[in-house]
Amino acid sequence: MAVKRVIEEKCVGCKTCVKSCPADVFRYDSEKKKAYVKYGQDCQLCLWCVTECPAGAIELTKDKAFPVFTCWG
Amino acid sequence: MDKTMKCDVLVIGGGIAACFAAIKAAEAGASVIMADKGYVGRSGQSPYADSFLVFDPNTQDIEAAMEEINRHSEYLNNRFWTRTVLEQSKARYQDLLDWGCRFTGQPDTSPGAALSGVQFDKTTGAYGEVLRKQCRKSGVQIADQVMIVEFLKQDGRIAGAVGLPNDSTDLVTFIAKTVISCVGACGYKPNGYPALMQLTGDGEAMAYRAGAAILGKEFVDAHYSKEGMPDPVSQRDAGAPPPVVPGQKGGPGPGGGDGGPKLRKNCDGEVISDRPEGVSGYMFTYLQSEFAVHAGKGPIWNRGAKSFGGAALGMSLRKADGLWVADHECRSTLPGLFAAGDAQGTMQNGAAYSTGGGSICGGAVTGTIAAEAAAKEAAAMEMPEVSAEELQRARDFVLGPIQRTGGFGPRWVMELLRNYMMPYFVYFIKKADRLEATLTLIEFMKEHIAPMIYAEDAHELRLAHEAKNMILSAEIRLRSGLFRTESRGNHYREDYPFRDDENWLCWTKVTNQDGTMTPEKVPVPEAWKPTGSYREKYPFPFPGEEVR
Ligand SMILES: Cc1cc2nc3c(=O)[nH]c(=O)nc-3n(C[C@H](O)[C@H](O)[C@H](O)COP(=O)(O)OP(=O)(O)OC[C@H]3O[C@@H](n4cnc5c(N)ncnc54)[C@H](O)[C@@H]3O)c2cc1C
Ligand code: SF4
Ligand code: SF4
Repeated sequence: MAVKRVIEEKCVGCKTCVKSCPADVFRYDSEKKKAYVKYGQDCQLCLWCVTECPAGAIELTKDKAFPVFTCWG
Repeated sequence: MDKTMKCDVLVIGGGIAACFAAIKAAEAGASVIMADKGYVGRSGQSPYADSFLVFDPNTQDIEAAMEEINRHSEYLNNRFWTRTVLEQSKARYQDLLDWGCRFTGQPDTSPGAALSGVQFDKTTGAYGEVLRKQCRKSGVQIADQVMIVEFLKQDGRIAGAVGLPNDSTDLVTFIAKTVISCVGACGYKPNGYPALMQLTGDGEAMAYRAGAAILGKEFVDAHYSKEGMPDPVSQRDAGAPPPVVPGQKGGPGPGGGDGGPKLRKNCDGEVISDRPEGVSGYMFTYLQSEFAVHAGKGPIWNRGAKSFGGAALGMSLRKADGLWVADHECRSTLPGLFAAGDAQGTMQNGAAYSTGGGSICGGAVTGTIAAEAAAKEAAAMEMPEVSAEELQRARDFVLGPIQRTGGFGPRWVMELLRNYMMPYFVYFIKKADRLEATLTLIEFMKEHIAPMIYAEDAHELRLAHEAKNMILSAEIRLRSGLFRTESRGNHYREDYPFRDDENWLCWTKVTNQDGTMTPEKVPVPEAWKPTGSYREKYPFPFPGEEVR
């Protein structure tokens, strides 16, 4: 997985990542007023979220490898 | 709750072609809605592009430029579109300047200047944001994060489309007098090229289902990337756009630089060049790395980094594949449906890369042409009435996978498809038996797996349709590749390793004929056929080629 999490303490809830992510990875929690990673397995590490987040609240892992192929899913 | 929106012109997409189409249609007086799977200005490949081709026919020799492009494209470029892009590039560049885009320098349009582009200045702001603002200013209504899944047809005409929002299964129905598809290229969500994440062949699948012809799927893109993942530093090394620095505005870097000639080496340290000795001009992104790998000379090194092939898996050579445009105003073969940008099969570059910056500029030029024609057509007609049955059919189609209680998960299906299509000996170095074997598997996927893909929420419903569209696109690709029994540009057949001018100065057009996917030849005009000896016409030898 490439995107790890939204660092809650830093997130200002601007929703920029929710709008910008081409893989539709984020959702907005309207109670907490923060974004969170909902579909991390679809991240392709394009880095739009990191580039656009005004608060530096997105944590990434550098790992990205082709997923292991499974015979059923 | 579902909602319905009506307009004169529905533009699908949010890249350069879509923005030009929307702005120009609105300027021509049409009411315009733009529906984008992503966020207009930040989606598709457009934010990644660096250079915009600017050519001035008043100072530069257009005949000489055409001659060079014709040769580099191995005579399969559609000369009408190649010339039109050159002729109109300057006007579109001027539009960008007027709207507030900034570039790092002036275009070089002096006599004899190389065919290349002027660089976007990404340090002063992303040009996608400028285009988005201009859409708004022109009165375009934007629907972000809505995937268009199925066209609506009425009386043999495309009359709109049904859209799926990213986070809800409340569908959006768009009723439109004309539709311009600007959905970009097609990929299989390859791991090395994040720019293709949203581009899963939706446009061609929808159009194929509705009866349109699809062109040029045999010419594969040969970008590659660093092993494992695209990381910003290696992209910079690969000569790609600036690396991502958090907080810096502009499109993030891509996943697969070409590396340029002379930077690549095989396992023995021998240089792999995409350009034969003595050939000048822009670029030949041929299949040299693939040939080296096939000969047991892998891995391929690019400036010290190990690279992997198929970074843009699923993508054709730019401007090759897409909706067959039947006239000079970007009309597809389906009444009411237009196409622009990478979604359109114009064969602007023919069978190989032949210009720099021509892709993004081609989107601006064709977006403008499509918009003007679509707006004019819309002005002369009434708003279509779509029947209740057709609305229900499209709705059921879109919601199908989420109404299933189980079946196959869309992510697994995509992974399976990538694994079938990925091997270099299927995708790049083709041969009839291997193509047929893969086609058997893809057909099984189409017939057995695709109808049973299920989704648990709106996000997965999107993935489910993407997976289905990728399967259809893979079948078109394999059939087009099997059909072309020659090698040319970025299409290589091990069993036919030579250009066959007698039989193959043709484009490949694929249509659905009573349920059977059928490829056909469309010959290029007689006057465009090359003369001279084989080697004069084709300076680049293919492995195993018999010089004729
Ligand atoms: C790394 C990189 C570098 C490049 N460098 C250059 C360069 O220097 N010069 C150059 O000329 N070209 C370059 N290109 C190519 C160029 O970016 C593309 O050819 C061009 O951007 C295509 O524009 P487009 O508008 O046709 O498609 P895109 O910009 O790809 O836009 C397609 C749009 O369609 C939307 N979409 C897709 N499916 C659906 C659907 N079902 N419903 C709704 N919307 C949908 C997407 O969200 C997206 O907004 C580069 C490309 C990459 C990836
Ligand atoms: S890196 Fe790209 S794909 Fe991954 S979460 Fe961020 S924006 Fe989405
Ligand atoms: S862009 Fe950053 S600050 Fe804004 S919602 Fe996302 S994580 Fe939070």
